[in-house]
Amino acid sequence: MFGYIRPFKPHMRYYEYEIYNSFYCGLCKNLGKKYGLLFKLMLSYDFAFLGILYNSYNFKCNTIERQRCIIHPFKKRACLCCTNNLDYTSAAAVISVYHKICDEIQDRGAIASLFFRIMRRFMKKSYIRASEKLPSIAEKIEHYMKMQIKIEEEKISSIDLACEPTAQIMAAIAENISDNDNDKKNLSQFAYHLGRFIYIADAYDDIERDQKKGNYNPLLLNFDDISQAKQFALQNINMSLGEAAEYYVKLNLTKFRSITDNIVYLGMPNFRAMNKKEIRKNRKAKVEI
Amino acid sequence: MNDPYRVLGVSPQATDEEIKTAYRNLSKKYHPDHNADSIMEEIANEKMAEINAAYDTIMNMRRNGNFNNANNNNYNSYNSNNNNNYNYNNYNNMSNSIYSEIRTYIEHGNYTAADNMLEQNRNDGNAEWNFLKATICLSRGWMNDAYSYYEKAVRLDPYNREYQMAFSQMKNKRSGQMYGNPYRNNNNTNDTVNTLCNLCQCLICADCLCDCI
Repeated sequence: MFGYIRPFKPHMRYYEYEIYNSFYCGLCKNLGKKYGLLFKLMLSYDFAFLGILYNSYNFKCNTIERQRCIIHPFKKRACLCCTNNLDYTSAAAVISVYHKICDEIQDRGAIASLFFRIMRRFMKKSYIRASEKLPSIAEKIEHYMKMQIKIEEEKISSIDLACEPTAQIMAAIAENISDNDNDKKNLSQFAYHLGRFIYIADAYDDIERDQKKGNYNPLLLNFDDISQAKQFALQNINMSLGEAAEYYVKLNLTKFRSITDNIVYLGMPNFRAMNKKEIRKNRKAKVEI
Repeated sequence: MNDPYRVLGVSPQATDEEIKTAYRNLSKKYHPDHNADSIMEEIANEKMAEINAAYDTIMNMRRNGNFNNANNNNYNSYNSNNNNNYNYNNYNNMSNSIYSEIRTYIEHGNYTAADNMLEQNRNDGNAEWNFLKATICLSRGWMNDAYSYYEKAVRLDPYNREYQMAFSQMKNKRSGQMYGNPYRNNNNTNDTVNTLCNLCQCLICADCLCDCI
């Protein structure tokens, strides 16, 4: 949804990075083929991770091909080809992207939302197709998006409540990855905390902008001082990641363990370093060895 | 309604502990998670509701003091004590039994029931209350609330080991510790050096022994 579940590139082996990219590319192609070009542009890292998680449980094929695509027309990229393994993730991605667009329309005025309205118009058909595939998830996401709107309207200051919709959506998507009851429980708890992390990290990154514009941000409602609010957010993120790690260990993944380890233990705790602003700053900075 | 004692399969003279173990065994047997088949599930659910109701009635009856159990030494001694003391002890006993009941609910994953009971006793506000509330918040993933409740529990009762353990775990997570982190120990190289040294030592010792023979 927001793209905070990313790998930490500096600590990745080259082949791990290739596999990760091939997942991203395969998912993107799958989206393009089944749901149209528009969704390709909206794909986020979070769903690449969910794709890997799904394939850690139900992996069948292992062919990575080098293919061209519209976004990278000049260079062939590693791409996971047997796309039916990514069907579940792409359908879930379509459903949540569609609801995110609906949410944007709610947040903006009549004119500002025009662009999103047009987008929604084009997405509607694909959304219906995806929600037919995963009706229970579509229903849950719709329910929690309504809850989100309510929370924003009432300006609830409790950070736990504010995180609830995003966390529950992630839990609903991840829960159906496995058929085993025990795994289901662990997956949903694990994903709940990932969702919590995503929401707080997003609030953390947007805090300055929200203060200027007077938007709803649960961190600002608890603290007047921004640095205090940020510290509070980081502590909450740490708690969520700590809890997520406990469930992650219980999942006992094997197939793509090194990649998921990297994402869980390095990528997410270092989310600040991968902020776009920071990356731009780091590109210019001299590195001391 | 059926006799609640018969539902749980215990005699009316059984102690609280016996009833609790009976309840635990039965609820383990009929827990919906263990009976996932469609036919068994309905029966198990019905049975589970019956067991819960029976346990509740027995506990309520005993809490209100309207059972005359000659085996229970506590009650006998209360009766012989003076009235004031009796009331105080009875109150303590009562709130303790509520909390132990809530604990059994939490053990079985029935968080809504446990939370409802806690909310009814909200004005207690003691360490145990805060601790249990924190546990429920934790199970729901409400980390911030859980942290503040744990903190309060530890402040109210600083010498309780259970509260301390839970709170320190929370604090570790808050400071960024992640369980099972493979990147945490970067001095793995030292370990290999150590094992190599050990190996050399063993070889030398073995060599010496060979000389002796």
